[in-house]
Amino acid sequence: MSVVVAITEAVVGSLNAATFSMPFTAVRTYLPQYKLAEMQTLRVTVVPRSAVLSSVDRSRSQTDLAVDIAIQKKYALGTNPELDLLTSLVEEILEHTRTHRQLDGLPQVHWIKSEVTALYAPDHMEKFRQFTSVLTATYRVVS
Amino acid sequence: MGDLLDKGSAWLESQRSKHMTRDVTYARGLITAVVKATVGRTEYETDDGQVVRTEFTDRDFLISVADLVLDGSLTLPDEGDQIRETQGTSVLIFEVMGWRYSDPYRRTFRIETKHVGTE
Repeated sequence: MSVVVAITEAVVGSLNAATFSMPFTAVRTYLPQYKLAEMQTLRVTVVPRSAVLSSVDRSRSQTDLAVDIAIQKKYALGTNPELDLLTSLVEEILEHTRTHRQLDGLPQVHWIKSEVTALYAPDHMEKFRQFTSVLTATYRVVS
Repeated sequence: MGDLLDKGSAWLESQRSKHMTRDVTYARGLITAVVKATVGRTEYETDDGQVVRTEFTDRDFLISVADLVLDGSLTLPDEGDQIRETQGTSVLIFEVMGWRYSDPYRRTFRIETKHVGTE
């Protein structure tokens, strides 16, 4: 199994083993595509994103591997309290990646950073009345 | 002589309502009403999101302004309202995403919806 796939699987396992304010079952996929009619259920999807190889010194190299974690749910009314719950969940998952920087079964992999470049997608709210947020977690392997 | 176009539009609207409609249930929360609707444009599409993509079905419903009565009052459509349409043994649920008048005399709503569930 490739390292980035192993990381993606480990992130899924880590999320599913934890308890969050809103229950969900994270899944790994290459193409996160759902029907709008399926989005009444909270969806958390983990997708391999990128790999960057660089040298550390003359003898060692490092690979930074990023995975995307998408949090999506079709909301009912779109009130602030309803959307605040989903925003809080994004922050919980963001924090979870920091506090679980060591992934099970991957001792050579270390968490580097996590970021949410856009907290939610306004176009999905406008088109679908759906909350969509994507955070990117980056892990490093030195070899 | 009056406004011939206005009269013609009223006649066309009466014909649409008589001959080109089916019963659907319009719902706002727990308040519901059975209204006659013409099914308009129906398209299956995929959103082109970068990381995550959503498949959806757009459907427009034409409903007479005079028919949309909720809780005893004439009502304008609103985002989040639902239109429930029975097809065979299934009930298709569409959510209102927007609306506009479909004619210059404001007799008919064109209500834009997306399919959000099936019961």
